[in-house]
Amino acid sequence: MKSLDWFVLIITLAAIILYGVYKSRTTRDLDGYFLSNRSMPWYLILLSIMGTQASAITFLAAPGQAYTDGMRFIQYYFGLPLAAIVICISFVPVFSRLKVFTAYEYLEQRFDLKTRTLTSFLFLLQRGLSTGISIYAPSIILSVLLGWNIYLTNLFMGGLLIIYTVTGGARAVAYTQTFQFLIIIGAMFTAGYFIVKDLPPGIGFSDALLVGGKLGKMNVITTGFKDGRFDWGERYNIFSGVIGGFFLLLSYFGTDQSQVGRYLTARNLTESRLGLLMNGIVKVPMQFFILLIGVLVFTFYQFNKAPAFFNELELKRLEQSVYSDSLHHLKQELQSIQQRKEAALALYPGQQETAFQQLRVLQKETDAVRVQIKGLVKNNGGADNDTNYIFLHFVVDYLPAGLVGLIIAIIFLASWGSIAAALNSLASSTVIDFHKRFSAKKYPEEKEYRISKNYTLLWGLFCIAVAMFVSNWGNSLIEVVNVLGSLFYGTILGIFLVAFYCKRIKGNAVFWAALIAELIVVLLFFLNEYKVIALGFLWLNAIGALLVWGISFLLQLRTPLQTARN
Amino acid sequence: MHNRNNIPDEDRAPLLGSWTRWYVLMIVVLLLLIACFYWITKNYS
Repeated sequence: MKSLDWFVLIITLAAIILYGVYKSRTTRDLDGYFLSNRSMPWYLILLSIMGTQASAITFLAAPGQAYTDGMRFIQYYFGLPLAAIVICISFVPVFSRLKVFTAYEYLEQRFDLKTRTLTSFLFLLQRGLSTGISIYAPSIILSVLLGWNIYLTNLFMGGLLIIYTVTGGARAVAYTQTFQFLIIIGAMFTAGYFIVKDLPPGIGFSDALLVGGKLGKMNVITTGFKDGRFDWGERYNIFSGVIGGFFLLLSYFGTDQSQVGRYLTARNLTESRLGLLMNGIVKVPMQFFILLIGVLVFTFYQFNKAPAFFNELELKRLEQSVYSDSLHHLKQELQSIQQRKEAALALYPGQQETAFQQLRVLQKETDAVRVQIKGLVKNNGGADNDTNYIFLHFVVDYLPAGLVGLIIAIIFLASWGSIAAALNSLASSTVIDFHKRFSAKKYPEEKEYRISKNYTLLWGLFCIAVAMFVSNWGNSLIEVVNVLGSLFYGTILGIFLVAFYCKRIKGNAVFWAALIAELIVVLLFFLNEYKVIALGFLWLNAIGALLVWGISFLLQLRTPLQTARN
Repeated sequence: MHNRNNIPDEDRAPLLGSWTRWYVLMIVVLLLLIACFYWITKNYS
């Protein structure tokens, strides 16, 4: 990085921390610390919800995802507007009326203490681990690309935001997320502009989409049907997106305290609903745009030489290994393909169809060579997935000085936005659902406020420790954060759906149903991992929720019979 | 505080008059987006 990049990076991060500390002033009680005295307008709720959901991986991995797999990932978000409607009808009014601090408090009123405690525990387990990985995932990418020490990067990534998260609670989280999000969107638009600007003369935005599209990257809508049969193992298609995505996002926005905690800070029910609904409207186009950047980068690399492998560290290790000759040979093949690609592109737009026909053949050759290189990386003991490095590699190589620093800054900011909200929610669940609930002592408000700050700090340290611990595990963990949610969300959602829609089902039935459903979901996950069955992870959310519903219904049917016999 | 339709002011739907209309709007926006994406897929692939 150049001096200007360092300057932009440090100024941006310092500005966020100072702004967070400045906005920290709130009442010194639980209502002020966890719910910002329920004073937020809808537009702050909207930006806070978006800032919580969009982690650094959203901005790093999404363009890489489109580069390798095309635009079809967008379909995962189609369930969001539908989920937002259900949450606004059923979830928000109940949380708002009961004036709860956490979503799980409601479960004790509706069922019993053990169901509340189980659900809150599942949340803490899932969110605590995934927040640790959320610190580690962007850190490993930065450390590889810029040669930074992974442990120091982890410490920077997770440590600095603790300053304002501990000090200011929910209010500081919401205000900094707003500021962060505006910077992130601005930087991503600027990056998109520079990609199009750097294309060869005569090739504009529409041409770039056409080239990417003809090579299979504009597959925005896919049905999942192959040879007349539906492929249940395919991760992203319109059906898994609308149905699986609906259940996952319903669970995430309706029952995950990191999101519930955002709209509980609203000044009234209207502001909560508006924030959620606006998120449902804005999120899909925003994610489309971020993915589109990946297609533009893909087209850019049709006209320019792409790296043989985007993870520089693994490539260097390969060059120094026994596989260096094979790598050299494959690199020469890529060079030859690139020359033929440039010759084919010279035919565009005059002989468009011929150019695309040749390009398709050459892209297949490129993909085959890249598979071989990935095989070498794997044989060499490295991580063979370089998807998350694609966009940043492009940024560092081609974007002007200053903008590189800004893009690195948005990785920190996006991480901070979601991690800060997660820490706040972890602390609120620990204080409200465990410490305060099980403690025999009654503390004064000032003491409760200080206890809450201590728990925020403790969870921050725990998540950094998780990040440090998983630092030796390799890159595959980046994917784990998405799958981890699907393992627990279905069960948690099932408990809430039964609570809202099945008034006859009581605590015992739903508690045991949740435990059985969780075991089945975990079993299905492992059966898929070991290739016994083919099941995309998004389906686990729907299955988990329906299992809780069905099993608790059956258990409740048995209960009155037993009671009668007794 | 209640308005003339006996809905608490803190639960009043802005602009469109009722929350049901907001929910219909959400579904219409989603369908329009899917239609737009379908057109993009057909046109650029």
